[in-house]
Amino acid sequence: MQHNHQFLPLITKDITYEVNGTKLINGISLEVNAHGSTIILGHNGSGKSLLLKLLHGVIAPSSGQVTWNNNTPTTQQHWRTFLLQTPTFFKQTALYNIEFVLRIAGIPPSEHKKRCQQALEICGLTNIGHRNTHSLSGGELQKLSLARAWVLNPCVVLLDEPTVALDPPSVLGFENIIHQFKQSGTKVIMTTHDLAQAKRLADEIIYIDAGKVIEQSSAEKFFLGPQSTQAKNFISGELF
Amino acid sequence: MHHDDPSILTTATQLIFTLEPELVEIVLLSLKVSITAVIMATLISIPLGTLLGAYRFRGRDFITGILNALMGLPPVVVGLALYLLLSRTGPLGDLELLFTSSAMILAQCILITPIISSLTQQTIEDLFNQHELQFKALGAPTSLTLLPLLRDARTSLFTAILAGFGRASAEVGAVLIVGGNINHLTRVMTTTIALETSKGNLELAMALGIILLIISFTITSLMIVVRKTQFI
Repeated sequence: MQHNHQFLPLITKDITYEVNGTKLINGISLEVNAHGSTIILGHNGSGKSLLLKLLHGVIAPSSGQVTWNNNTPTTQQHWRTFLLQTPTFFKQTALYNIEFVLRIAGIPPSEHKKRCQQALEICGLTNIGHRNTHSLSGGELQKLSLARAWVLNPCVVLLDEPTVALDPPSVLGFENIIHQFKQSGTKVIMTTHDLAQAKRLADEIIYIDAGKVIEQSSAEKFFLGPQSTQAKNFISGELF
Repeated sequence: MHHDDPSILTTATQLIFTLEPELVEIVLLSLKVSITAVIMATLISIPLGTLLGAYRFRGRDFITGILNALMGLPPVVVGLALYLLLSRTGPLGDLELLFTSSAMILAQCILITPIISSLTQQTIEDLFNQHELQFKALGAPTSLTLLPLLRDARTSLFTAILAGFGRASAEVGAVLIVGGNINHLTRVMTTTIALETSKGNLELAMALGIILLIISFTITSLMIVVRKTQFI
């Protein structure tokens, strides 16, 4: 695997994203390093997903700059993968969908079989490799999305609220795979509004609200003593 | 001349079941012309519709507009334009295609290409929009997504091709003008029905009408079956 440090730190400088004069992302500056997993936490509509899309380069900021170790992101960089909240698949076998990303990334065909089998195994999908995606459950599809990321052996994986529609056992299965990503040295950057999940997975928290970064600190520090009123309210579960 | 309806139907049915040679010849020529036209139109329309559906480029809306407008082309106008092109004094007169089955194939192909192209474009565009964000997230170049998208769209595309065949086999105006309805050469089901009805030979016209209806119902049923079972 390529080393994380080759592509990190991720730095954003005063990025904004504007739609019809409304700033949905409002001057975010942050730095994310290679160490551990970073969870972007916040309410629905706080701008988490948008921020993740800006970081991956799916959309370009209206102003400001995103750089990965001083390079502007493009989606053709396959050392980094992005899992959508609602992934889509071709109506073909799970295996075909995994192999498709290997073809995009230009991986030699001689490596496809081995890599696909390993990805299916890691994600607990060995038995469904030859099943058509339209016959898979929501949980299996999310795992397939992870397998599609794993197969590329990425240095960084960005996940946009991947477990939002899953039941607790499926969430647990999914999080186990994320732990395996971490253990393999992959930098995990994930959005969630689920506090318990953030506690389970985070080494670092970026708390955002109304398109702004309110706090960025270690997970331990954040959950023990949040600095901002918004974060305190969020952690205490107050509705506002 | 007075015809007793039941006897027309009986004679028409007899013509079909006894495989009357003239009738068989006309049916086979009709199928040959329409199937060839559909194959040609498909070879043009699937790539054209796919490109228009998956790529955004300057002039795309203009081409789409023209294709949509051409879907409603009056067949006799196509026949007339093709007649002028292929006639001895026309720009393509040297090809000597006028009053041949090739001219009829060309006419049907021109009429159904916009239909199959537009339906293909719509299908691919819908699918592409559905996957667009995912393709961006994966960093997938559009060129690599086309074959899998076409595979996913195969049921709808097959239906579009069947719709084209239905339109081609029912065509009469254009093929009458460029084919000339010449016995044993360019006489197809629709043009024969028009001619025999005007001559009062309703038995042959009725027999061909029944066969056309059977073809039409078969196509419609096939479309329903393909949609429901997705067997291809």
